[in-house]
Amino acid sequence: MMTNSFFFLFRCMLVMCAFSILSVSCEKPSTTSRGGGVGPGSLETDKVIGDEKENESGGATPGEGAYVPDPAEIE
Amino acid sequence: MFVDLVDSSAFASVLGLKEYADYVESFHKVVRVQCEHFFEDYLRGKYERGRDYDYVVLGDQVVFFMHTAKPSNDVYLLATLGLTLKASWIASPVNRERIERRSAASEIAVGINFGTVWARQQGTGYEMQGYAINLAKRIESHSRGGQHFRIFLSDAAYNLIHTRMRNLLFSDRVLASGKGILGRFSVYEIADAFVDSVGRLAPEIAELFEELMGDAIDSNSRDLWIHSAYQISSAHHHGMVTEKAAVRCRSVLNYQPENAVALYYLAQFYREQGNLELAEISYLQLLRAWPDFGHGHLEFGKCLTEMGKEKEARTAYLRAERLGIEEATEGRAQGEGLEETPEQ
Repeated sequence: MMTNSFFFLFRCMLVMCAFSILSVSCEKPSTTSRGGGVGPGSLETDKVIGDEKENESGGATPGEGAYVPDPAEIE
Repeated sequence: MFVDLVDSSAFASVLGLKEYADYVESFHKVVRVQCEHFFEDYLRGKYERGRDYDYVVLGDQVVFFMHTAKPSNDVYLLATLGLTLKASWIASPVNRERIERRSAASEIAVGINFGTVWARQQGTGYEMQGYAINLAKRIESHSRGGQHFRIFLSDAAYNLIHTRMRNLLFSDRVLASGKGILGRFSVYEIADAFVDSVGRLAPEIAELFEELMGDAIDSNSRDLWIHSAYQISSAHHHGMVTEKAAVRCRSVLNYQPENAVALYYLAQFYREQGNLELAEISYLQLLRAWPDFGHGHLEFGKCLTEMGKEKEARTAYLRAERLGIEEATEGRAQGEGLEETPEQ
């Protein structure tokens, strides 16, 4: 009985590890907008590109969010 | 919007009949491919031809109409479409050959007006008449003599978008006259654009345009709009301003010291390299030439914050806020927060 419980626990741990590995490998890179050329994605919202977090100062390096917003459309 | 091949009559007079027909057909093909991509792919079929927009290709010119419930957006879409058509035409076989032998590219000129027309339904579209169309044609004729992008907007079109945009910079108002137009009319030329033309191009055209951009910039100092497209595309591609891009900025500034895109991206390059003093100088030059460029004031504010010049940064943020840049409020508030934090 004890051996069966041990193997069951071991299999559960293996499955959890597999899920963790899969979630790490499937994680998308952050799509930091540089404020330009986001294209059709912007059609779905009313916001103007450049209102996103990349324009927060303090902590952001110059290369991030430092480009002029270029929306596909305007309101 | 009228889009016209510049100097097509000159081409017609020197080319044989078949060669000229091929030249015009090449233009038609570029328009068809790019327009289909722009409306069906880039804008994801949001607008229906006939109902929301239409275009007619006639010889060496194309006439576009957009008529949705959002006139500002219509003008903006036509302006960006005009930019992509210019880029598409550069990538055409006619211009590839000219650029390869270091000749100036054959160009297109664009005139955009906004106004009321009389529309009669014809099948799935409309037949349109009106003074607004005549005026747009005259604006396009005037645009051939443009000094920057050769894309001109009428007063009405300009008023719809200039306060909403951060990525289009316009020249001062110019008074022009045209055949059949009483008196004179005001026009504004797109002087610079932070518009990702390459991102809006049909993929097969984008690839060709990207290959040609460098040679086109190097062989012709007149068409600096290609340099603007290059800088934006390069920055998107690399996620930063490269050394090569910065060299091109400096080169452009040798013959156009107030080029907005060149100054802006050079400033960004210096910031990315950690050379904040040179970045400050570039921003100052940029904003002296383009005092209404709100995003320039915003980035200048960030640069000054990085330099520890909080008071000057606050002024820059205030200028950006005055020009409608909402992010500047946050930057200014953060700067004020840092000022209020007692020193350890």
